[in-house]
Amino acid sequence: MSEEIRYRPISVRELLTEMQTVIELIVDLAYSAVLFHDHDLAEEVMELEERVDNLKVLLLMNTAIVIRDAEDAEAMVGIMQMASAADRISDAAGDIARIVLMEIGIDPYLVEAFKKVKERLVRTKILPGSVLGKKALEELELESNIGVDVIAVRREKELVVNPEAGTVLEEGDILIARGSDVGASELDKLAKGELKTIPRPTIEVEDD
Amino acid sequence: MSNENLADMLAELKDTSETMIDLAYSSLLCRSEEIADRVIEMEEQMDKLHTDFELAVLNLRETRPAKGLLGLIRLSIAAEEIADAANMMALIVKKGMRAHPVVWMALERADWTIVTTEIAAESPLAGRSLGELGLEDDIGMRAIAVRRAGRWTYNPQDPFVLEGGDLLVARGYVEGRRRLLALAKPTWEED
Repeated sequence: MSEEIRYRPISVRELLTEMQTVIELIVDLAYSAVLFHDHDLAEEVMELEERVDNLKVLLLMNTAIVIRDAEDAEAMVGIMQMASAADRISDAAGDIARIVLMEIGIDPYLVEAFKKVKERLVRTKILPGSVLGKKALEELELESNIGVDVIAVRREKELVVNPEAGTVLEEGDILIARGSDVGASELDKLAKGELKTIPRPTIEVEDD
Repeated sequence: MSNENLADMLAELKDTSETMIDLAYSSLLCRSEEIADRVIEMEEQMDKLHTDFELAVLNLRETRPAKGLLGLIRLSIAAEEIADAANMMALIVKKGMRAHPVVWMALERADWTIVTTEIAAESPLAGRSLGELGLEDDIGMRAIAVRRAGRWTYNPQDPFVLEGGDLLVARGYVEGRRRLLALAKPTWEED
């Protein structure tokens, strides 16, 4: 663990809520990272894995501090079990991400097979000069224009899952989105400023 | 063993592990031993699936590069780990550990949630297929399991027709929850 974690009082409810939200995202990211051999997604998994580690420690500290007797202990054991399960899930997600990061990869045939049938996730950072900067999600209409759904936005340490339509994107934001292979690469280019305008949907519907 | 089978098996390992997490959370949220039992059952299926998959991968050792096969083995071990962790959560319910009320408050407040609801016979959902209903597109809720007359179907697909009396387990963002409950017209105590 890269940073020292000290006790600070945070509500157990908040910690559990955040843990659940991260767990949901991390499993999705990890599978997508390995099936599409995507380093960016794998990096995000490592980032989130560390976050779950920290949450677990904080959760255990905040639980331990309120236990005074056997009755408290009984009431808290379920929470500790939840925290351990969440930690195991995020460790497993980390193991999956490492298959990508250590350049082991999975058999290329399977990567091809999944490209054909599955929607994928993409993770990209908004660089200076990108058309996405300073725009609200509802203005961009990414879903109808390029068929990608932004499922999370991370700004430094702050992770927002299922961002509201009014969310204004900023330079430096990390976007995590779901969509087709084509849509995913368009979003990546928009964020990097390689694509200056948002493509409009074509009449032709893509078939898989 | 063809490569296509291998892709199908891998998809099943992945989907089963993901469904197990959803169901495990749902067993906690609904304090349902019955759903917890399904998770434990799936964990047993997962053990078998995992073994079959690893054998299938090892059988390819003469024809495919070793590295990609190692990746597949590691991936299936991780899927199995995820399934084990889901099992652990289900055991909280099964073993009657007194989960603190804060657990439910937290689960209900997260950005995504799980809804378990019985479909009333007169519900607009009854008699229509999942494909027709397009719940995922309309209200952002995806069906993850359905119980009908004591039998469970996991990951029901588009042609699956819902019926009155079905117990539907669905997941999605919190906004979709209220709308799904309204559509199913269940007897539900609003919080």
